[in-house]
Amino acid sequence: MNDQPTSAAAYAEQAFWYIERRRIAEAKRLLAQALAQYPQDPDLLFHSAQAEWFDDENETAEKTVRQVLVVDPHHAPARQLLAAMLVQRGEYADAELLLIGLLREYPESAELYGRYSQLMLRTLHLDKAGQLAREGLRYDPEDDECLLAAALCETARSGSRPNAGLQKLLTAHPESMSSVHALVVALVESGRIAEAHRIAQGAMRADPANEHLVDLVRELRIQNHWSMKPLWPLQKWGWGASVVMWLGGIVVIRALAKSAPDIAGPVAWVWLGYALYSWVWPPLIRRIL
Amino acid sequence: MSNDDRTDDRDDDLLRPTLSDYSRPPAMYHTTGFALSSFFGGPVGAAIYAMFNTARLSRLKQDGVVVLALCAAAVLVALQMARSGGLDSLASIAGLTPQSTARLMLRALGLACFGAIYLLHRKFFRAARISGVKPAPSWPLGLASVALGWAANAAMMTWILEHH
Repeated sequence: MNDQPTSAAAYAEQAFWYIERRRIAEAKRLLAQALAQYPQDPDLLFHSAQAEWFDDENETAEKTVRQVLVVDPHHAPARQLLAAMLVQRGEYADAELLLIGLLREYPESAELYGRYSQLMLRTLHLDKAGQLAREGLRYDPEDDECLLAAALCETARSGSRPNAGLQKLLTAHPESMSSVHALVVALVESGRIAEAHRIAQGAMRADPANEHLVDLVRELRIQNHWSMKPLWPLQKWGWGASVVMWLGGIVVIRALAKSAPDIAGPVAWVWLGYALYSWVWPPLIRRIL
Repeated sequence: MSNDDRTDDRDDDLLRPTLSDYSRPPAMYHTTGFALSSFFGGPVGAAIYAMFNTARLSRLKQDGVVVLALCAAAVLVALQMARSGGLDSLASIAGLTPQSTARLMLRALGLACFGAIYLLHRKFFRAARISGVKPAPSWPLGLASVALGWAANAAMMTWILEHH
């Protein structure tokens, strides 16, 4: 990719090649050069916004993407990118309107249904999220955005039970980041932290520039740390385990106080220590590691 | 109606905006706050906290009655235990005064309400975790639920002990 491009389209193609491979600095350099020659080209501006977005320059990226829409108000990839930016900023209603507008123009785009489904999942509208994913899969049964949304909806509904949506995603896209994401989420929900950690670590080695994966691996490393092992019942069974711990602790300590008062005191202290450990240690280790 | 018309209707329904009416981003209140409110505030504390969570999910119509019914059932169990002499049996088994036993029973019933309501909304709690949605700030709601639940528990205990 060292030949000098001779048109805006050629620059855009080369910039996209860099962006796809997360070589953002090179993409930015090329785009700066291209935009000096074609300052109003919507595709160059769009790729520039993409590069800024990947570089976490969110405000600049949004300005650039809005500039694209001034030049070409119908630029679909720019509208999709703006929707993603609005979702990240928590402006869900505006993002929804953008996605609906796009879906009205491209009613058979499975990818758009998948994105809209993920927005619905994020805003806790599970039924609509499921319907949108199913609708998208009618147009493209192997679309990874829809399969990811369907797998996540099923994980939300059924937790650790067998997940047909996840199975379909893993079969159709065994090496995609969506599969890794859905699989790790399902494993974490089943309390299988060590396996989730291993899979996320493997994915991070393949895509070390992916910040989402880096954060995920860091969080799983914390949850998989040896000092967190005593808390595995709480990790695996969540609030059910907490309720059992509280009720069981009170009943057992009361019973011991009556039948074996000598050991009731130490047991109460151990129980209290464990409860304090479960509250204090997880936030502390997040600061330490 | 042709198949195409039905497809159009379904698309129109699916493509109707859902989020336009929200004044704040949808999120649930913290689960820890819910558990603590239920433990310290008993069934009434659990119900108050859960009703606010249900409102945030825009599911008051579907789930509001269930939450209230669970709270009412828990209160009835407490009163029935006192009337039928179950409280005395529990107190003698645990070696506690009737007052301590009643307090413990209300806390256990609060946690039972928490468990039942958590099961009712489990898929939403999971969806929030999966999507990385941060819980809404829950200190004010938690404190209000504990305070009101505590007052309700005190009133119930007074009644229970007076009719004991």
